[in-house]
Amino acid sequence: MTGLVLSEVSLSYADGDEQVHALDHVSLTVAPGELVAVSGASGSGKSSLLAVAGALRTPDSGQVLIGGTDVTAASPRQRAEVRRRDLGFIFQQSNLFEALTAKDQLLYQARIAGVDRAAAAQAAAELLAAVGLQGKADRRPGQLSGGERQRVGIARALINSPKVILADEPTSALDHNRAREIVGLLRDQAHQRQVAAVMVTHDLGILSEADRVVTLRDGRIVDAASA
Amino acid sequence: MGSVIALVAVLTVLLSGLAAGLVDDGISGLRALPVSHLAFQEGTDSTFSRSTIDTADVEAFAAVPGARAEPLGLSLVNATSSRDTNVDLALVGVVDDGFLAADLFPDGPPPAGSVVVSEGLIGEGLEVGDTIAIDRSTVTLTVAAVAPKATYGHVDMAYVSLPDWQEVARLDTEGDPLVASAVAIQGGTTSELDQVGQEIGLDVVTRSGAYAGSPGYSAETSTMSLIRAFLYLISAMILGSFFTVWTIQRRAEIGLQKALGASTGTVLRGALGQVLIVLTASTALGALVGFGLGKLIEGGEVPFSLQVGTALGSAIILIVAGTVGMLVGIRKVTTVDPIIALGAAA
Repeated sequence: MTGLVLSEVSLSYADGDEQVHALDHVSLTVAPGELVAVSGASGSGKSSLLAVAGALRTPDSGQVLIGGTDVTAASPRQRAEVRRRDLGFIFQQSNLFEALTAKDQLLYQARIAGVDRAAAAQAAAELLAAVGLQGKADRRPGQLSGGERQRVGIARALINSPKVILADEPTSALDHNRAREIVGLLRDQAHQRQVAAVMVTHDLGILSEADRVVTLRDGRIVDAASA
Repeated sequence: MGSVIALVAVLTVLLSGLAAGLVDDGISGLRALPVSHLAFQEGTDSTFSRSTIDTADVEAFAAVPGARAEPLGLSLVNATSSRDTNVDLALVGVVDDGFLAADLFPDGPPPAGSVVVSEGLIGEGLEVGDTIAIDRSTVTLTVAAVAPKATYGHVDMAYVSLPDWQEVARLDTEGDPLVASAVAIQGGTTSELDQVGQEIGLDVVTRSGAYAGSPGYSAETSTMSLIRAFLYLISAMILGSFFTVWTIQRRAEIGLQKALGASTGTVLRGALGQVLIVLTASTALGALVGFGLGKLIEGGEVPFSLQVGTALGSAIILIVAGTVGMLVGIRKVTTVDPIIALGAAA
């Protein structure tokens, strides 16, 4: 298993005088080539789960394995290394660099991972074609539609051949049809490239595109089922 | 921001030119003298008007191996020209057959009763052939020639023979024709000259050491240095503040870079690289504009002197000060949490 493993993960934080239990003994395993959708109401712990799975937060307890690497007690430097080597992120509203072209978004991600520029340029061209952006490599985010920007986000997440992809509300700015297209693309890429993918969403209309759906409530998994 | 940095660079270069101009105006005449050292009466702080030396002093230094010595008179006087123009003079008296006269007057020393004036005095209404009457004396001198511009204590130099200077200074020269303000020395080692000075009760200083005796020189140079130091400090603070704001404005982008796996070092290097380019380019442009403006000012009534080296030095110091300020401002990059790249706080 080189996908994503969360074992009995708990995370809490202070909110004024109160202690909020964002994650309460959550266990989740995502296999390579599988897309798991995590749904739940606001405050259910979706973003906290993503933060822990993305090596952005250290859990209070439990264990986190990303592509087989235990990041539970990793230093900030080690976590950054895991993020650039083993993880791919897809953000809300795409979260692209405004000044960079579609191709350069991918090349930046490759550069910080130390990938040779020529090899990265070839991989970027192939990935942009794979997500349906042929001929749009030189466009900046402002020259792309919302769906196209998310396609760039997916390609960027894949450029370093990660073991795990984490998507944070990737369809929040898209209409229903485009949302289904994007999630379908994400699922197909996960299958094709054998990447474990987790998608946090509150959009119930796209859950059926995932291989499995996990529902969170008050920091706990209350339902897990195949889509 | 680039325009602010460029304006600071213009100001810095112009101020450097003004500082150098003030220095020149204070001591350019002294700096032009072909001497390595000067000897003043003990305890007079290199002030010509308070110092008196005599023949024995000159002979003592002339006896030092490798050294040449001769008397030098210098006093600040007022005069009135035949055109009824009032002028201030830094009146210098030198011996006719000495090494100072040979350097100052390639065409021969001024004859008795005549004066060679700095070209700055020509701008004040004097012309060759005019006569000038030294105030509070009976001495009248004829302007015989013009020498390159040279000043002492912001007053233009005027060169006369030593006897004429002694008459203006009303020195008692009975039996001692070499009485003057200081001993001008060429050659010899500082240690040997110091030893002689201690033996005969004179203070030996290098030529640049004698600048401090120029009226107002120390106060002016320290004031200008203070102004320049504050300007660099203010520049560093402005740039520090700017880069603090710049970092805050780019917080989301920096958070995204970190979330994607960029190390803090990588993000810092990227940010510093961009900022250094802006800082260097803006400073270079500002220094260039300042240099151009300085060249327009130079030669006018304002004491101003700007060399390429001065402008370059000011620009380099500004870049260094800016870099320090930038490092302080940009340190906030290290505190940006990559979690902000996610849509909701976790």
